[in-house]
Amino acid sequence: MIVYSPINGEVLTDAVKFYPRTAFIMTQLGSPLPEELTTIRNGLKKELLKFNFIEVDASSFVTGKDFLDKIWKLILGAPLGIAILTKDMTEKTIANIYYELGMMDALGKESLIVKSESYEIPSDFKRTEYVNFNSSFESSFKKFQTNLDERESHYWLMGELMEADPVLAIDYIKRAYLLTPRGKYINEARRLFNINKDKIDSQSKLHIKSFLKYG
Amino acid sequence: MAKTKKNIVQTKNPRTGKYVKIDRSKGRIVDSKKSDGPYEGVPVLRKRSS
Repeated sequence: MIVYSPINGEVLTDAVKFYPRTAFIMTQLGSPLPEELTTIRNGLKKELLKFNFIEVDASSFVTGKDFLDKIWKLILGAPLGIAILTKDMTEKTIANIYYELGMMDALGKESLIVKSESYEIPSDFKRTEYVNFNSSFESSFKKFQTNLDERESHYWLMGELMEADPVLAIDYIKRAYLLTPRGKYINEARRLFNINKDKIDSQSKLHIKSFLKYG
Repeated sequence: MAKTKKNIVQTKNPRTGKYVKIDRSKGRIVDSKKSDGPYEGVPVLRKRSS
């Protein structure tokens, strides 16, 4: 299990802080914000609350470090990223959002684009799930949430099917835990770690131990 | 040969809606289906046993 820093290209050797049941929002921050974006953000916030998701964005934490470092660590620790895209956003903002979406995919995170109806998604992101912010947003978001529950169950199953490779099995279980932090996930990950620790490399051990701390 | 086959199972990936074939003895995903529906003759697992 190797994670490279986008800041300096070196391997990450720090413990990762995890944010279970947290959605990292990728969108334009600061003020003034386009009116449509504010409406979408408020509507999304309401839906996330219904499903007990905490919402964070790059301005939620003050670390004093590099802004990209902060975003990367948030993405590493959260299970889900939601990009909000509207036609009124500047090209620079949109480029940053797509960079972050790419990072989410590369790190095995769940992602969703919430967009205004008139906004068109570029071809490389056609496979990324998206919902339009319109009158059926509430039901579309509910469907996405149901699919997230199925993914959690899938990761839990994969944790069993991949047991012959304990690092992969534990990583699948960690993904289930980040979606819903159940004690049984940590217990199973700990059991797998304890019976396999002699054959797990030190870099993977570091990542696994930072996850097991949450038990 | 028969022993290897016994360890091959499939499950549906809810992100894509497509089935993936897994070799449990190695902890490897050995194939991902491009079309709809399951692989023929491969046991389907939907839920974890415990």
